[in-house]
Amino acid sequence: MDAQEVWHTWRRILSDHRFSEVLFTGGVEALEAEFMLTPSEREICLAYSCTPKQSQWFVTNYRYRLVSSVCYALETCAPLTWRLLLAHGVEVRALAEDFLNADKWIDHGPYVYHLCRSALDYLCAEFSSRIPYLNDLIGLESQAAELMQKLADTSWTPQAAAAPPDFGAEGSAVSFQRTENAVVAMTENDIRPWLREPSQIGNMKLNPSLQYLLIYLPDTRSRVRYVSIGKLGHELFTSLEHSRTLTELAELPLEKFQAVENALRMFIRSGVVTWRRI
Amino acid sequence: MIVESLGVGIQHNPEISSWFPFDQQRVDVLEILVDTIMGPLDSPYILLPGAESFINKLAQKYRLLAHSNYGCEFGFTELENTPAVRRHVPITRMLDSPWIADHCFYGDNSWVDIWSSPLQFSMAEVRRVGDRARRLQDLYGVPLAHENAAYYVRCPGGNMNEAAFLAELVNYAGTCLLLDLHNIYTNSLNHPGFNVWDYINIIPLERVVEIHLAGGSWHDGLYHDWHDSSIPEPVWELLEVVLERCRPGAVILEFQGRAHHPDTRVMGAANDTEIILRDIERAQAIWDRIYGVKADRQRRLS
Repeated sequence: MDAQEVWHTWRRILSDHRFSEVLFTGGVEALEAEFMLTPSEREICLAYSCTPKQSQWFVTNYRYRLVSSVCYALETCAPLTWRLLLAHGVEVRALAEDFLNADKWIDHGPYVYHLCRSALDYLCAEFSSRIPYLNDLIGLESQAAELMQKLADTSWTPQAAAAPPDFGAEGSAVSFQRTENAVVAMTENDIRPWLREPSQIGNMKLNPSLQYLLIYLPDTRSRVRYVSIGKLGHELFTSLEHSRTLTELAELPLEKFQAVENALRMFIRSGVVTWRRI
Repeated sequence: MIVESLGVGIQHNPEISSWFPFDQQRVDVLEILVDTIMGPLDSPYILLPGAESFINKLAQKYRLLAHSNYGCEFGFTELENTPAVRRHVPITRMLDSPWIADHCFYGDNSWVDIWSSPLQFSMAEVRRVGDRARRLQDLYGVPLAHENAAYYVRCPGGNMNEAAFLAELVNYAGTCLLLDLHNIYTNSLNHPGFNVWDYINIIPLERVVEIHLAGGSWHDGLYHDWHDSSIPEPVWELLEVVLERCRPGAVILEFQGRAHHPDTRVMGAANDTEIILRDIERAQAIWDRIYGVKADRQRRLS
């Protein structure tokens, strides 16, 4: 038997509940009646069916561990959402199992942010109407996970944050542009108290107030950070997709230019905007 | 195979770290599961945030040994794209580990299905796996040791016994062995005709660089390598024999939480710390009697 074919057939037994159920209760003849099998797949399934009890132990273990993997992905990559679920007494292993039933029990392995985003999509569809503010946290942490994946795909190398220029002295001789390690997310409610004190997640009501939150990764040793930047900060950050001078920024419909300079300084110190002399 | 003589240690397992004080143990070495500190492949992290300071703190007191669970090195995807190459290679260097051990299971961009299928014991797989192992050992830059598996079912299509397969593999690839004595014991209980001493006599013991010790539990008619109990007497007997016949660099004890099955006993009861300490002491006594007392242990841990 070709080892690769054995492995792929075995993975199907692990992940396809109906497939393994028919195999271990009805044998390979029952399996053939319901599923298309190549001759080698038939031979492989026959081999596993000869030790049904032992083989099924592997299947049980696989499912138990995969549920644990979903919990790990949420706890590690979406810790705010995880806390909110726990605060509302959600049975997280049962939730993970329901998600896996929908996700066909596929093992995504070391692609933890991919698993996290899939689980968050599921949570959004199934739970958002049941748990207040869940949508805000899911939206925020989905974007954070997407940012992490993007930084992995582009092999991002962090740059040390520079000191801001002397705006008065440099005048229009400098240009600014945002870097790739940040995005802006919006929440419908003011989640800042929860960000400041995570122990309050799910235990404190939030004010309905649109918030603009900068999500950024300062370096590859730190966790993702969230900073409230307001509507002006959002507009400024958006405008810096392309390199712009202060003169060009002054022409944009941005109010309170002093506030713009302050926001630029904050962005530069955070390492999400770079500047250069032109 | 001559490797640095580290002594007796314990595997650092986060599942029990909330109650077992790993950093206060009088051991010679701590084995680090690199998967527990590695960054996801779809992230820019090599190490998870906080892992570097965790490693540095432990390294001040202990030699650290790298152990790979989910490297996916012997699956069928491109080797250079596996967690073993993308994460475990750089992390092993960060740990300054004198060797790295992996597992003889299949895996392809996966984690949990890895424990379910041991390699197929066939000459075709000796060559395919051996080519990957040789290449991976070059990338690691330190000896690569394969840990023998505990399994309920052999991979279909094999025509060799496990010990013969491993002997052929390390000879073909130029790699080494981590001999898990509890896995051998577990297989002897679950597989008719599996003889522990035949196994030991076939394995090239001169290639053994590390030994694992653990305990397990009976459940539903099978014995399970759950690392939830004291080391059984037959495993101690195996240890004494193997240490007389070869010179591994380390003996590592394994204990863990409920990782594999809902019915695993969850360690943490009042006497579980005593169980672990007693087993560590016994392993150290055996090592010291056969190889001599580790002279630097007292000095390093005082």
